[in-house]
Amino acid sequence: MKFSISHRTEYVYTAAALESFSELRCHPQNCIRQTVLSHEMILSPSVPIYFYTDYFGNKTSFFSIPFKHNRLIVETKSIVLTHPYPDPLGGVNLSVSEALIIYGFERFELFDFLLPSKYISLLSETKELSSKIFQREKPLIEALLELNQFIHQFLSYAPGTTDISTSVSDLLKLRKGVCQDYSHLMIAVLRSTGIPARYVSGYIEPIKEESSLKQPIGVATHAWVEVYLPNKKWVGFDPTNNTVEGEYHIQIAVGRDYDDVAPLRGIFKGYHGQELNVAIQVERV
Amino acid sequence: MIIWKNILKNVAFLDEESLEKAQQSLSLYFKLNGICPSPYEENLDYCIDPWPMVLSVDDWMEIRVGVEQRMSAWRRFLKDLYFEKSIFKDKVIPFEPFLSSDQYRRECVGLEPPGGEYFYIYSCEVAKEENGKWVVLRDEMEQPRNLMLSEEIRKGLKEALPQLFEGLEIMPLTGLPERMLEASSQNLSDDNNSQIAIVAATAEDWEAAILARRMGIPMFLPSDLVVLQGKLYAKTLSGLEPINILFRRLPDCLLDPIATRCGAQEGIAGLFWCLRKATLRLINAAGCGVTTDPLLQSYGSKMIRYYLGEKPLLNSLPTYPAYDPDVFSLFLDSLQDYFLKDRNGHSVALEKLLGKDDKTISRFDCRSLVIQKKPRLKKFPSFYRTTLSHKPAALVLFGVVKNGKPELLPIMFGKVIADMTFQDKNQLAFYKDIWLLQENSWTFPNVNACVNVSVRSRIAPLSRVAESMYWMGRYLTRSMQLNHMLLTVRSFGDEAMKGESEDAFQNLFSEVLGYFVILSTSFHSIGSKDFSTLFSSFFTGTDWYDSVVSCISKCYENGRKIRDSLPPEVWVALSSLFFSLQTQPHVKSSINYDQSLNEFSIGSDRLLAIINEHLLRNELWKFFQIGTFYEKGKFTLHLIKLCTKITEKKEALFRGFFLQVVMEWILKLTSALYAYRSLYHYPFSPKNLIELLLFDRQFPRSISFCLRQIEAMLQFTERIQNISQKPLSFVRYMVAKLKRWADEIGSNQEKDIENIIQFKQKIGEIEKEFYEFHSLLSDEYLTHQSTYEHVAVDEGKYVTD
Repeated sequence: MKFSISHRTEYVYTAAALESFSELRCHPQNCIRQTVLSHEMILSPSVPIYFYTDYFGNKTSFFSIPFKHNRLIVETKSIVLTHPYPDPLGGVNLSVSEALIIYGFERFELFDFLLPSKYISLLSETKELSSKIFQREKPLIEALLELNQFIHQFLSYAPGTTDISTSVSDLLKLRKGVCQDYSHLMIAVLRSTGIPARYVSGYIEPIKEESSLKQPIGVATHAWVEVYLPNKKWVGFDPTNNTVEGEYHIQIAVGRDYDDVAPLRGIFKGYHGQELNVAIQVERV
Repeated sequence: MIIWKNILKNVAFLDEESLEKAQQSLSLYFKLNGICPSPYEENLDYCIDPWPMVLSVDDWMEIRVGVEQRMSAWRRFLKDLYFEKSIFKDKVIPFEPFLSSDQYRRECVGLEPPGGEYFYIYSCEVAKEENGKWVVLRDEMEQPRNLMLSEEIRKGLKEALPQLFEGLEIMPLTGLPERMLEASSQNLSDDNNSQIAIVAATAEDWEAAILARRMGIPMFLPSDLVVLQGKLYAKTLSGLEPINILFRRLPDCLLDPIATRCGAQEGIAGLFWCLRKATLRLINAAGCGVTTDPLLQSYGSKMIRYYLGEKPLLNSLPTYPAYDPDVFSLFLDSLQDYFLKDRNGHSVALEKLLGKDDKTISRFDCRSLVIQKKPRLKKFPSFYRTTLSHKPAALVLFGVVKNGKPELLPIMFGKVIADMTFQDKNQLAFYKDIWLLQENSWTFPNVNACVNVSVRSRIAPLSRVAESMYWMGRYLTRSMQLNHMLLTVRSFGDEAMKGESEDAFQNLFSEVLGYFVILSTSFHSIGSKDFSTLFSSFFTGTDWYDSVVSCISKCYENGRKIRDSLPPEVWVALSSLFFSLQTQPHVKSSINYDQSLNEFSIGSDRLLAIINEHLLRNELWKFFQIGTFYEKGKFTLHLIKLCTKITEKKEALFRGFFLQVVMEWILKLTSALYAYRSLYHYPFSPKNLIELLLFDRQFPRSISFCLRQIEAMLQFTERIQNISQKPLSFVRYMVAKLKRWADEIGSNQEKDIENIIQFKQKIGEIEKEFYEFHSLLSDEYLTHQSTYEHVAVDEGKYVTD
């Protein structure tokens, strides 16, 4: 499927910012699932943009505005072709305990995705959940799908109830959240089990007949989870929609949690206070 | 043996009393030089043990070889950690505790520091065990501290106990800054425009200031620096100056608010951009913070075997991760033999962590704690808390890596470990001097040799420094004016203010005082009260309002912020004036007013003379002078206004003798009495007085003179490119206006009294212009914003891919 994505972020400062420095992670990645046909980034005020690849392999752009400015507009326009990925979960006929043994051999390489991170702490509650779902003899894929469904049912989608800093323990009490919280909770359970899992940020096209969406989520960026399977493949699970990553998911960045993949991170010097406007459009072309 | 005889001879006279005295004079030396353990807590003092520790050459050789071996292993480890990670892959040391540590910086992975060197400066702590073996207690590579302490302890001790050093050849401790500079500027590319600087978290960091002065490099705060197009620049008065080598006094986590996620107020936004582009050599490189982990340090011996294939010469303290339940229960069983520490090397009190049954661990993350074995250390004589006793002591040593070769310098100081449970790197410790004596055939290595560094260059002053200098000038002048005013009042005597004209005097007095900002309560109480009230408000008042003491403290605070730019003589004169006022008794009755006032006059004149002598050729001095003359001019203007006010009054009282007294008073307040007498005849005429104070070109407090001085000081801006000349043009305009006015008055000699009324309006104008000038100066030079607005950025749309 071919998607045209436009993402516009606008910061309006209450008083002119004297200088600012920003880092962006909103560049769709070329990978086995998708091909980026074109990508364009427009800045206002216009300054040169630089790139680097971060620790997790994400293409990251950054720029500094060393003069007074009242607003900052970042607009990206991309055309991405997503490829069908038939049967992503096929060929893994291992039980949870067998999979864990295999993960043990790659512990060094996968270590980052087994550890607690800034927003994902491993708690006794997540341990309990993991032991309930990931019984040792159960087939791994079955358990993963069960977890995906469990998280989907456990939390109810309620924008505005949580924010970036909502912890996993708060989520367990609140039982409400957005895609980011669904993903954080699922990763916490997976890592408590010892299964390597990472956070994916991206876009999604809301297709009602394919997903069991309660409301459209095409208005904002989306987040889901990738699990490392014993066949050395990262496979995406979307607990918000209770699906496996499909053709309508467009990946931007991967990391340990939201902190590693925040779409725009920056600082400015000036008076406190700013207004943020975000407009995202994902359209099939 | 002769050496030991000499030492014994020198220490023979030392009893506890003289040692205590020496200790006190040492703390005074430290205080006057502004040396305190933490830049945030001024009242915290270093405790110095005046009893030196003598290190034999054999011991020194053993330590040197062992530490240099350790440094080599660390060099290899850091490179391995951020690239291949072979030590983990080969399972020599476990990877879990280190790759999960907060100090392991993922943003540094694959980021090769320019020159390929991770650390240039190294510091470690070693101590002698009871069995005679030396053991490493701690390594420090992230941002070695106390670099200048050894030199200062030696200097202070030499001042406090000069007899101690008689006839002994002791290894001198100078030369560390020069060695650091030499090591850090090695292998530079052909680009000769390299500029070295130091960055400190706060301006009050005394050590950074001293290092900057000694190395001849500027000191910056993170807010003084900006990253543009992948290069680091300092914001100076003349625009942006590139920086290539940066000594950091910031931990890894506070380097870059974007990359290391520290607060926006800390760090330099975009610093990692420079590191990625390899345009900046950070000393020591980002990522060294992981080495502060005591657990990692305990693997030193394994690293030496793995990387160097050698037998380790020095051992480190055995350390275990506390998350292992077996280790933790073992620790609880033998508490007296172990420390509990966090991963930064700080001691942790066990009580805070334990639950009710003393064996369960409550609410803490074991991942962040380690258990370290307590060493049994040899004891050395020390003068600890007023008694001579034997205490274990550690040596703090410094090394540099020069051209890829580690070198331990014979520069060190001792640390008395009074209580082993508080063996903590931040705990307030007792420090002592270490003597390395020339023995047998061994001679001192030549650490003091001149180093050849070609990269130093001058940098225009920062707006922050100029601002502090300006305010120093203003506050010093203000305090001197206050003191002079008190002296003048004193010279008239209490009686002069009483009698017939008491009320008029009170009014007059309030008018004069109106210039100074004082507490409203004390303002109303001034008057019929005696001199003591006046003195306690205007001399010793310690509120943030004007008084001699508070003005000097503000002057000192400003000085503290720019210590690196002040010559040591100026700094010592400033701090001794500040501390002499701090110790003034605040009691009213017993105080000798004349003595205090005169002492301050002498002290402040001395400070002024020292500033003028040592800063004369410096651009900063110009800002000091601008502050001084601005303040002088403003005060004169205030008195001129007062003079016009009195002349306006119609009462008989203001016509006769009283008017003369008031004139004399004003003349005395501005020190203009003799100048007036040499120009005009008695009786005093208000017009003459105003003319003298306004237009006289020679009298150093006249408005004309002050403005001309400010103009002269600002003339340097004409030579510098990119610098705004608005303040200079404005002063020129003021001078021209004043001159025209003087000419007008000169041609209208007849109309006497009317002129004075006319004066009032024009004086009001000048006063307004003074304020305007101040805001213009602040906007153009004294605040950060204005200095880098002229950066040109290419226009256009940037399309990627």
